Amino acid sequence: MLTTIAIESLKRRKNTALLTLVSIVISVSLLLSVDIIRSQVKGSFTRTVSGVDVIVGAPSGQLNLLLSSVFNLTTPSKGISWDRVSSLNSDPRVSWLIPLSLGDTHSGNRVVGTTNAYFEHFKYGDKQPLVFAEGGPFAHVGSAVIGADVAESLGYRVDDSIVISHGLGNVSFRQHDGFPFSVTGVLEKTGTPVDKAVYVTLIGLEKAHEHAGPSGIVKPSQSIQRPSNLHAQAHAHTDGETAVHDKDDHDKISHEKAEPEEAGHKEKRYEGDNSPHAHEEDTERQRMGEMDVENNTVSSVSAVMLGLKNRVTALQLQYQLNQRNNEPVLAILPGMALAELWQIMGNVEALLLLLSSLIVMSALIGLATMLLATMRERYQEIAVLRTIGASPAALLILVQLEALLIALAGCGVSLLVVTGLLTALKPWLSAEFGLFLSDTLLSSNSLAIVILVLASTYIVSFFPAYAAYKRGLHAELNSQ
Amino acid sequence: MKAGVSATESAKTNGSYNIAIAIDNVSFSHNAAHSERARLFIEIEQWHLYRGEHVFLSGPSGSGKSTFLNLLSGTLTPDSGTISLLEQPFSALSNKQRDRFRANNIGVVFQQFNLIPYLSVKQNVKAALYFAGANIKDKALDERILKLLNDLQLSNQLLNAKADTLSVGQQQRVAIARALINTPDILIVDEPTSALDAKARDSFMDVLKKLAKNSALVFVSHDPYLKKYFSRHMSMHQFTPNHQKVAGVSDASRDASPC
Repeated sequence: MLTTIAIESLKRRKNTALLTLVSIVISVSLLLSVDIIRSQVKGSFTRTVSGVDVIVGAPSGQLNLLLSSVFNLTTPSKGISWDRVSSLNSDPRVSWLIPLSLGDTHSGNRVVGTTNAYFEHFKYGDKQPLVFAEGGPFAHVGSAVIGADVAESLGYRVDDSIVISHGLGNVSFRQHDGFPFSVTGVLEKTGTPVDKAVYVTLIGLEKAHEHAGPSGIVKPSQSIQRPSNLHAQAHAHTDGETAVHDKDDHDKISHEKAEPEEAGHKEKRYEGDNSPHAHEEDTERQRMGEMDVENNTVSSVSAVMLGLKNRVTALQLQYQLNQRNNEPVLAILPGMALAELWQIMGNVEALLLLLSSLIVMSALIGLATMLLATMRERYQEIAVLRTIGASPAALLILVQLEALLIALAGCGVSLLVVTGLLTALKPWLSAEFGLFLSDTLLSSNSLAIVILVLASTYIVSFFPAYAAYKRGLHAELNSQ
Repeated sequence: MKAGVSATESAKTNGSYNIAIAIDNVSFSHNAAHSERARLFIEIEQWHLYRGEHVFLSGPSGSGKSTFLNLLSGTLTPDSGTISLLEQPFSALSNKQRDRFRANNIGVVFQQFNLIPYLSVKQNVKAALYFAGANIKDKALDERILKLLNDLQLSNQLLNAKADTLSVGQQQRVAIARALINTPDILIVDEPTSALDAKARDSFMDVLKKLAKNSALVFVSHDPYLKKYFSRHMSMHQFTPNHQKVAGVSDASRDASPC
């Protein structure tokens, strides 16, 4: 009955109650969002790498190496020589080695040059291996393996042909179109940056760079082209021309899938003649395909992930690598680098949480003020309730119940808003910030926040509730 | 006794009635610090009301009628003396016991502001059941509410209407329903007809008298016309010894002695 009275009372004061509700929804949503994003970032980062004991790269900075090699974020540093990679590979402490060559993109997705060791040894989450949804690992030098998001967003399937762009970012002005790759495998979704990456062979990537030539020809931004178009650009490339397509042209073709079987027809449509480069390219790809995919000798790589036979040797190996003077390298332990990252982020997180909590508190104080302000107009109601047997304590509970109902509704709406909003923003967050939200956004933290908000409401609402209680003590029949 | 009446037993008191209200040497003064009212003293030496007895209480404005009713209902506690209700020393009960006693045994109808405006007719009546400790999910109680509302000539269609959408007459009937739903032994009614026209007033009185026939009824009104419904008449009176405002009751139907 008290709940009914409280609900009806709030409905009677729906304007003020609604405004109070909105302020609570906004503040609690903010607090929940900060907490969810904080834990998702942490979870996403922690989930991304598992089982990698040491990462070795050029001396740049612990975080830079970690972010570029594992999270496909930031600009990769200059490489380390293959000799150094070979020496690492022959180190008796090393169980496996994954070389990484970074710095290119495909339609805004990072391209990672690596070997099949990546699919064999790289693990994410709770030591989960990568699984192929379709196809398999690199079969030839021109192979590419794509992440689940790349396949989904660009509609790629096995045997599709793709071209990578030089440099990072969605817009690149230099295409490695002289060496297109063909998709041999599509990975299962992992909820990590793997989903948004295109993996190509180390040698293939080096070949693609060789094909680009030293001149650094500027081309229109085209993440992927139909083979005919590639050929058109190959013309420009080989002829040393600078081809500039208008924006519409770019938009039209940037999301199109390469369709080798249509190459001849498309070529005619675009160029009006059969370019000999088409045949040259096919021959080149065939030649590459015959090369040993496991022969990965390249001049240099951006970083190397190491799995050790015994993790205890990780610190020792890291120390020794970092002490070398000839071709200095930087060796990092992913766990420690992440800890440093959290340390940096910890203060920002704490500040954000503090600010959000203060905003929630101010909203709750607003709720208490609203209830207190209505107390005078409720004197008659209090007198009526008292005369029909309501104790002053019942009046106290009634006012607190009203506050708790608003807070509960506020928390409920906030949970819906935050879940809905973050789910809707999921693709954007992963595309723009590399933040991979898991399917379950809400955690025990969210529940703890709701409980804390309700507990705070209970405390804050004590003031108006006590005013009702006091009034109840002195309420008289028909008092006005 | 500075003021008041020695309420001698009337002929009506033949032993077949139990005493519903007994006041013994009660004095009360509003604490000026806690009240906006002028300082008012009430002193009543002895006064009784029996079950089934209906008394008409009149008196000029400010004579202390409402204070007297508040003392009877336990929302005010006397400074000294004893108020016994249904032969229990009401003023000696704890606040919680008094609240529960009031919910179970005392029905109150005000002049106005009787109902909680945002609750429906049914909810207003159910609230009285709830605070009396009844299980309000009991379907039998719904039947009881419906029957009472029918007795009060209120349409079933009004059951879910919000209280503030009713006419004043309808509101007063709902207030009676709420006051009677727990079949109280004591009914306190404070100027309930002042907002009603003559026809509605008579109708209201008929229903009230009928439904409250087994309760001790204290009926406060300025309207001398209503005296005819009551066999026992009382009035609050004032006098000012030593420049203090003192009120007491005189029972016109009994051997009332002036203060």
